[in-house]
Amino acid sequence: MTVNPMTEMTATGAVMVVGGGISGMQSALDLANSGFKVYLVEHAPAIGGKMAQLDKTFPTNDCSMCIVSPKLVEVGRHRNIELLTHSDLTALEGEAGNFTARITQHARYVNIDKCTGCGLCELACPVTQISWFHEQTGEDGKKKKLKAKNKRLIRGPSTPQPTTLAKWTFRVDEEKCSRCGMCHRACLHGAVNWQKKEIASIDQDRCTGCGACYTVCPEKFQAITISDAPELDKNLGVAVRERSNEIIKRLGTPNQGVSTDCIRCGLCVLMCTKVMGIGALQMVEDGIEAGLDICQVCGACQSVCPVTYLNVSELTDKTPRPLLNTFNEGLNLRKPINIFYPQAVPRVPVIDEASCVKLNTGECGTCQAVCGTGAIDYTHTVSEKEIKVGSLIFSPGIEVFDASIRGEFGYGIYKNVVTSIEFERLLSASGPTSGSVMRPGDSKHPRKIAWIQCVGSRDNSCGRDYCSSVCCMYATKEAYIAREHDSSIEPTIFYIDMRSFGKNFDSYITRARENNIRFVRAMVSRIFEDPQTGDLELRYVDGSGTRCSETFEMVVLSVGIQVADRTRRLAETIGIDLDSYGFAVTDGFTPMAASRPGVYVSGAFNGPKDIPETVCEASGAAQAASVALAPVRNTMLAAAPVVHERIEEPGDPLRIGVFVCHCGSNIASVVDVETVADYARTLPNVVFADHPLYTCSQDSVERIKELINEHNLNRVVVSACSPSTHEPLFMSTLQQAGINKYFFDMANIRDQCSWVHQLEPEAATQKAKRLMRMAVTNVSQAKPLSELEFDVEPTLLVIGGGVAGMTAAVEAAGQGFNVYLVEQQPRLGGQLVNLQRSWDGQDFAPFLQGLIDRVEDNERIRVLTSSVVVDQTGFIGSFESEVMTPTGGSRKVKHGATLIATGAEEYRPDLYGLGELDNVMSQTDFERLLVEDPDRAASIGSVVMLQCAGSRCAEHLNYCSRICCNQAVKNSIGLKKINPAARIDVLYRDMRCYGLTELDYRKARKSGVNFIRFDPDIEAPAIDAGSAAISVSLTDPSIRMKVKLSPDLLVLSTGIVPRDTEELATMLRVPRNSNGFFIEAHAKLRPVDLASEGIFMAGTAHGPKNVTETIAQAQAAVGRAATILANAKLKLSGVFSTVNAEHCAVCLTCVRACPYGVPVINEEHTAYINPALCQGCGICVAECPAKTITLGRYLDENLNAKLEAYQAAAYADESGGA
Amino acid sequence: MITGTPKPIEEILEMLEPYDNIILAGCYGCVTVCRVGGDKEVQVLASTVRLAREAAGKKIEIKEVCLERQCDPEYLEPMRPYVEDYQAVLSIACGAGIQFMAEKFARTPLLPGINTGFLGVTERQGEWTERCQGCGDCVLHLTGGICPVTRCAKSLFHGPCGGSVQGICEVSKETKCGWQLIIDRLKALDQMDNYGKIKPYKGWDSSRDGGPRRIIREDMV
Repeated sequence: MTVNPMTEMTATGAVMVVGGGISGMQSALDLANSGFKVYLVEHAPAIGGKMAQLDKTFPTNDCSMCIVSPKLVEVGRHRNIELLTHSDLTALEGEAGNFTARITQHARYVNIDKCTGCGLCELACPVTQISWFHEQTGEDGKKKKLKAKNKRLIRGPSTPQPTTLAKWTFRVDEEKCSRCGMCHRACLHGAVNWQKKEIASIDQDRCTGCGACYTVCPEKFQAITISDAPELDKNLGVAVRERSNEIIKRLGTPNQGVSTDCIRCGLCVLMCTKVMGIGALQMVEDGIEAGLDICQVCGACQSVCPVTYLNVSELTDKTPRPLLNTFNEGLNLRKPINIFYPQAVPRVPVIDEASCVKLNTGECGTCQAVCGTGAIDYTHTVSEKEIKVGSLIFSPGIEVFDASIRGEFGYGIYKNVVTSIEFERLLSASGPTSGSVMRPGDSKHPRKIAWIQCVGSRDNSCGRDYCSSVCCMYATKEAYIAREHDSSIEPTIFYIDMRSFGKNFDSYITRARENNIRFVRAMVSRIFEDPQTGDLELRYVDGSGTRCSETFEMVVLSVGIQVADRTRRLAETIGIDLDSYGFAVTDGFTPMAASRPGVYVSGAFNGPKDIPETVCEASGAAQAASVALAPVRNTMLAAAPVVHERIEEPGDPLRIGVFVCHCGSNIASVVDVETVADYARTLPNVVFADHPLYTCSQDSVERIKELINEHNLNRVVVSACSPSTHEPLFMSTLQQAGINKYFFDMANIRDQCSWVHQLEPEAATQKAKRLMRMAVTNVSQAKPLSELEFDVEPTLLVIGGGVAGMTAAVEAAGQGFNVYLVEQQPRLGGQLVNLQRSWDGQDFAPFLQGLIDRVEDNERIRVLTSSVVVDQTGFIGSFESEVMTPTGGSRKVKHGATLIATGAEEYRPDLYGLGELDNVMSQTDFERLLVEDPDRAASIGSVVMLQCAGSRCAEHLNYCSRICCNQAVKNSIGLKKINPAARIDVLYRDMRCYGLTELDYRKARKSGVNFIRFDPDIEAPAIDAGSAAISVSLTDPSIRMKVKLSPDLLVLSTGIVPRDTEELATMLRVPRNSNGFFIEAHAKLRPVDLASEGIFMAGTAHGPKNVTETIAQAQAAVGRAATILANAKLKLSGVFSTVNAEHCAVCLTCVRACPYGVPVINEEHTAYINPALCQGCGICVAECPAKTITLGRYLDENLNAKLEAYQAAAYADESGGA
Repeated sequence: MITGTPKPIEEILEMLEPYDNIILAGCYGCVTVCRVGGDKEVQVLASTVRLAREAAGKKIEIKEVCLERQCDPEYLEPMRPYVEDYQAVLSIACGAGIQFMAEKFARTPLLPGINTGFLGVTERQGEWTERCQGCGDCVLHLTGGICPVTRCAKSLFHGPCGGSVQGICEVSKETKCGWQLIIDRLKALDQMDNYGKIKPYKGWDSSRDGGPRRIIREDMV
């Protein structure tokens, strides 16, 4: 075993991950969970990346946000991950093992430690546009008052209708009044009494509270005072917003878009003059007079106008520049202070320097005034810091192609032509239309929608020769989901090849067809807009050669993915090589290692790919980045504080503490939290109740710990927001204070109360009381659950000695774990023994031999050939398996994790004389012939390759084998090299040369290989193969004529089938699909995990894939396994299902219902659920017909007690008691 | 296993119309396994009835019990002390259990909450099919393990009738021809000689034709 120079203790046990999309997050989590400190650097204000922008994901139609947000939260809360958002890497010095990275942190203007993410600042901020800021400071350094030269009167349908709703009281401060009379002249209602040289006074009966007097009173006197204005103690901006909201509330829903009369509330003038310091607006008899030249176009007046009277574009002589929400692809507006998206982590806003009025003119300051935790700090500046790390993972992700480059589609000109990512936002429930499919031009619901594929993909004319890999599937998904939102939508997808090459993708396309999604194989040449209707006419040539034109109401361009310019520059900073398209250059046998040692890449930046492949590479990159750092594992982690749990003695009195959260004003503006807290104190056993402004803020959490000790609390209830986001925080707070973490409950009085009952504060307060009372009742009878701790066996069992298994074994050994590598055959190698060259042209033989040597020479790896795993017991971290050895004896091995790498082999169907005729062979046979018998290869004059021979059909393999198209292209080019004159005809259904392999497909076409498409549903090629001659006839759609071919050789692309793993799967209790491939725990986010914890898979046992993808997956599986094996000890969850054997009818319901395959019928003839394996989901509990299964914290008693508490409160309320 | 299906709630409510306090009795036997009469169904049905009656302004009191088996007298006995405190018993056990309970508690009206089905097997979660009619004279060794009495709609003994078309019985498109299944299986087992064997007339007296049946095991009684 060679000693790696970096294995000295001098390396740094930390890794920097640049890019916080799904790839970076997965890498960060895997690294942090396997003992490394992680710095996650993200340019955007929050992590999440592209996946957070998507609505649903193919092929399962899972909600993207729902599956990614737990990852966001986990990354945000992880002790060993330091998040550096709104930051950039600016330099990387040093070398592998000891890098120094320089990070520039942009000014955020919001203190992350203080902010609780309540969002009040964003609501309060009045600015909606990018302003044209004035130079207001004169030569004397004083601020000069702006004077309008160009004025316009804004009129409504009739004269202003003054209102006194939520009226403020204005008075004259007699001591300050200078007797100038400005207020008297400004008042349009004759409410200001003034005579020359006398102090003014206001007649409150006539005053409507418009504040005209206040705005004109000279700054140096400030003689008009305001009272009765809620929130004025914060600042005027907040008070104006508050009154505006109050007026809206009392007026009812304003008519959006309908012009109304001015109600002369005066808020716009107050806002413009007193908050923004401009003074461009003035109330006059007939309406509002606007100073067009001095308006700074910030939009504040419009955003506080309660009746949609003002429109910013009418108030200025400049063109307003709306502040577009980039997360929503510019489809709606945002504020200068903005939380990136609702579920963002960190959920902390950033202030945009370009549009914030405070940062540019020093006025406003509304957000700071409204912030309850003092988190807003306008003095922030850019800061730099240097961080030492051992390696770096670069996963910057991709951007979408700029569709306006393809001018013929009119993107950017025709409003109803959108890109696919914009359409994702239109579908998203948290998007600009709340998930309603509307076309941007006129908000109409479109019926006919067209998708145009390959916009910025497979296109040499705009320098995007590669295939983006994901568009066929996402377009189908978008069409599918659009129909789910509105079944009257008729989607049509225009495409070249349907590249649904992934696992279960073809069946998704079939389902889409059945769901009335029309697929048209045609490239649209142009779009014309009907300017009257906004409809779009598409021109294309159909399969029969007829020129067609068809009108659609909306067009979605399936834009390809590309590497952003910023990423290219960053790659240059890091010093790694990129290809001409900007994708990272890596070797096919070390797929995540970038050209600079110690730097690793993953995700779509490493070649176009979808989410599961990205996640897989991310885990693989984490593994690759940490293997050299294994000796310094656990050297840079924050130590978890050890707190001993107080043991409760029987008879100890209950001492419950209740915290009712204000959540800023999220809850407190509707629910009277003080009353709720008072009520809490009246409940039995509640000894303490408080109502913190933000219960989750850092200082509040610390305070809770103190209060627990001060009041000797032994149960805690928090009435606040959602337990799904905040329960872990409070539970760990309890743990740190020495209380069993299950002595806790949460009442959601925000999402389920204040937010939904905004207009009924009293009823909402009643409801909050009841919800809180339910939680108190529940904790009153909570039982302490214990979490068993056990030692982890740092050994990996690898089943299968092919390229996946061997790669995994070598990597795991490099990580410092012991490995048992069990291979059924007498020698290592697997299917690769039968293959010659990789898709990128490298010879397999030397690679394979090198790999076998590394396995056999590694003292940590124990190879067991001719052996079979026959039994496995135990659970994650602590398995024991029985291995049958060639002698017939068996040995037991202990291991902490299992990796299935059983592989696949070439499918050999009984078709066209394969295996009998010498002139009919499979692609693998042909590949061997090209290498081993070049003389014969040179003599071959013509070859027909038949794709999907036995694939994608019901009689043989009903799936796509993913690799055959590339294999055919590779072998075609191989033959052309030997014999350039050879005629090659590839008969195909869809050429699925995804990603950068499209370039080879193009190369093959250019070198003269014929590609002839067929559709077996219309006409399959007629093939007559005999030993003397082969004849093939079919229709070539490109010339629309019958062709007859008489090749010397017929090569069948037969696809691949998994090896027989039925016994293994049954023994391990892990599911396989109907084709015999193992099913991943989650199609998107757990691509190498199996549903049973601690068992992983890699390679073709999971599904067809090439060697590079197999190696990536093997590394990923080791990366995932390391998150278990790197721990000395693990804890089992305290919440698991238990079967009471007494009533178990052995009906098998739980066995069938459990998605993790945990329940078994044991030797005592009862169902048994291993607590170590149980995931605590509760499905068996709900399904058990004998009701004899229970789950930790969620007993019937708990729920019944809660319900009774709810009812009891209701009765008490009715009697007026509560 | 004895299978069954829940009675429509409307029918159950109609049955319960005259009563305002009842026992609802489930059974931990077959009906638990086939998900019509276990403890969970007792609780769900009781809640449903209570809600419906409450909505109708006619409250009902329901005592929920689930017995180990309703077809064994020992398991019925624990109900005896209180059964007469209630006006009726709604049982969601099989027909045998309901009758046995009616017999044991003769002064209390017994109401059936399920429709008892057949002796069957679980094809998959939620799907059961019939396998045995309990004819009392088993011939499965001659018919490849497929019962002609149950699987053939006419209970024929010497091959299919003219209504068998491409393996499907004329009774319904969902029903496979029992004899086609038998022949296929016999071929696979290489036992087609069994098909040619003339079977003597079947004594249906051991089946329902002999009236209600009784088994006495001298070795056990």
